[in-house]
Amino acid sequence: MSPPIPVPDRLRAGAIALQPLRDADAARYAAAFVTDPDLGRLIGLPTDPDPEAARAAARATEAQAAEGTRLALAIVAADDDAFLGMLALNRFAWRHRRCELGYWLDARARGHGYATAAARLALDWAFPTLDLLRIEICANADNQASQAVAIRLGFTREARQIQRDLERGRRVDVIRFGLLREEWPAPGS
Amino acid sequence: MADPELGRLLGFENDPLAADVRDMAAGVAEAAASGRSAALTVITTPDDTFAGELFVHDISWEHRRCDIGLFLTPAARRRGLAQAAVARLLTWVFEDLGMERAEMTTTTQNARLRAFAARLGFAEEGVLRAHNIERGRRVDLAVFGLLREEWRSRPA
Repeated sequence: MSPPIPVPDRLRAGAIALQPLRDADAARYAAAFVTDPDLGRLIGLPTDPDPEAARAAARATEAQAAEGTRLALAIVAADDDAFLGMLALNRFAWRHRRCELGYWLDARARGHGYATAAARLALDWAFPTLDLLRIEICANADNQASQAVAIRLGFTREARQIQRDLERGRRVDVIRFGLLREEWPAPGS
Repeated sequence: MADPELGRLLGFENDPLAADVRDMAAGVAEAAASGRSAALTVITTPDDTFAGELFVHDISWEHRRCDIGLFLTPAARRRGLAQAAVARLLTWVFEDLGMERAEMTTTTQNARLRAFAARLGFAEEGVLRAHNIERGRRVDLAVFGLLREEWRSRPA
């Protein structure tokens, strides 16, 4: 059984906030995959999303959360709500009280620690609110930025799975990270 | 002869009763038709005796990979049946289903399965800490992987 996931209106920390994706974000959402042509492949999308796909993602947020399968939130600038990227909790295994965490940033929003800040917000919210015991990050081995965020947050690198995923015709290694509830918040993270 | 540890090692929440097994058997065709999973029974000839079960689950057609699992009845163990059955299953998974990678997972306490995976050529790729809750206990999971080209080039 999948319990419904409550969708937070807005979670804020410093310069960024997490909130449901809006139609108004669609153009910048899709543009991120043009600005950085490697982004879609690195986060495991079969094709790059266009603005209509972004609007469909916005419309799907409530239903996915109600089904208990996924919570996707936009990472935005706290002062003017400008779209910076996305964060999602997905692959819920409620019986085992765990899920996966994913995130990506528009290339123009990188280098400020926004992904780490957004993930920290999500972890602070998710462990107690969803009563989880473990949260995982799975990164394409080529995605150094994603792995750096996991390490900064105190996740443990637990496995390298050889050629685990097929991304756009090429098999890629996957790095698995895990964080247990009793390890959060990690000292200094 | 029974094995009271079997259900826990397989990650079953409760040991199945005969009626549960009939329900499972009824669900096998539907799960296979939907492409989600497959279950095949190991029998010994010539008398069609039930010797165990093979599972193909967590099939990802997108990534061309799947997870495999098995158990044998205590009476069927220590005769090389598991190795023969899984070897045949792997050939089916790679050559007929078109998978490019097979995975196995087990709790780290299951030394027998870890050794078995190694004998088949699986690489142990890591341990996911407290990954599952089995009968109220958090257990670590060892993950194994085997690629199709590794299987094809195995020593005869």
